[in-house]
Amino acid sequence: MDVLLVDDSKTMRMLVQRAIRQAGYRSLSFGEAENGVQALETLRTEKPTLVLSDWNMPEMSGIELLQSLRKGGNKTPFGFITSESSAEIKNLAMSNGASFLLTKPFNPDDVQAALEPILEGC
Amino acid sequence: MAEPKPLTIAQLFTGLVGRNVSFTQLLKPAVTGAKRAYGVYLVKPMDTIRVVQLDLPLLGSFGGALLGLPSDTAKERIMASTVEESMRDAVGEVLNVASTIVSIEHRAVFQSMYLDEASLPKTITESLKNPAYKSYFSVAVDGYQGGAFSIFAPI
Repeated sequence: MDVLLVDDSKTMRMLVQRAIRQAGYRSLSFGEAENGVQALETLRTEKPTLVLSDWNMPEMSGIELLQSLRKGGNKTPFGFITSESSAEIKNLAMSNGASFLLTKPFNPDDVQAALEPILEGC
Repeated sequence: MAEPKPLTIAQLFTGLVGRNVSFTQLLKPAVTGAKRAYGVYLVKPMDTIRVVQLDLPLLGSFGGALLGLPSDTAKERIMASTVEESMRDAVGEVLNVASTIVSIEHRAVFQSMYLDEASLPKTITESLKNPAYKSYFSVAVDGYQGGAFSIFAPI
């Protein structure tokens, strides 16, 4: 698995996957989780190149997932794709070790610009 | 309350559904006779409520465009007595993304979706009768049915 997509919306997971492929990353493999708890479970056995997560999700939010990963020593690059767009949220994401925060709606160019530094060579 | 600009809202939805969407601001609500759907948002940090009310067929158009469904199929699915999971998920995401235009100054978090007026909590129904703030739009979606879209900040 190259990218773990974490979002409670199946539609959004599909759209993110489509945008990543349209951005030129056609050979990537994807895993999916509906919330932070499921993502943590998946990350016990999988080592993706990138975790892409929504912010607001039931059971465990995206920021809680990131904090939990970093607390446990997991340094997997982590990006947010979310409808949250305030400076406060962006600062919180970055100060907890996120690589980027993309605001929904996004286009393949936005996705490529965010992913390129992380997925170079994939 | 700062008003969201029609162009800003149109750009948001155009970017989301991948079709040209236009918003025209109106002084009074457009009378379409359509069934309505609602998105309820919590505005931080005050925890005040804000509500988006829109024609159900329009919400179905957004969801259908997201899913790549033809216009007629989108309308059929959103108007069904039981809305199937993929359409429910897609329109939920549409209302979630709308949180960025529901409040300009503060962070709005999407709370819940109601696909008919009858299921709306009474407290919200009552507060919508005399909102502190209201903003009305007529919406056109390229290739799909348009409709009425309003934003309310209940008292």
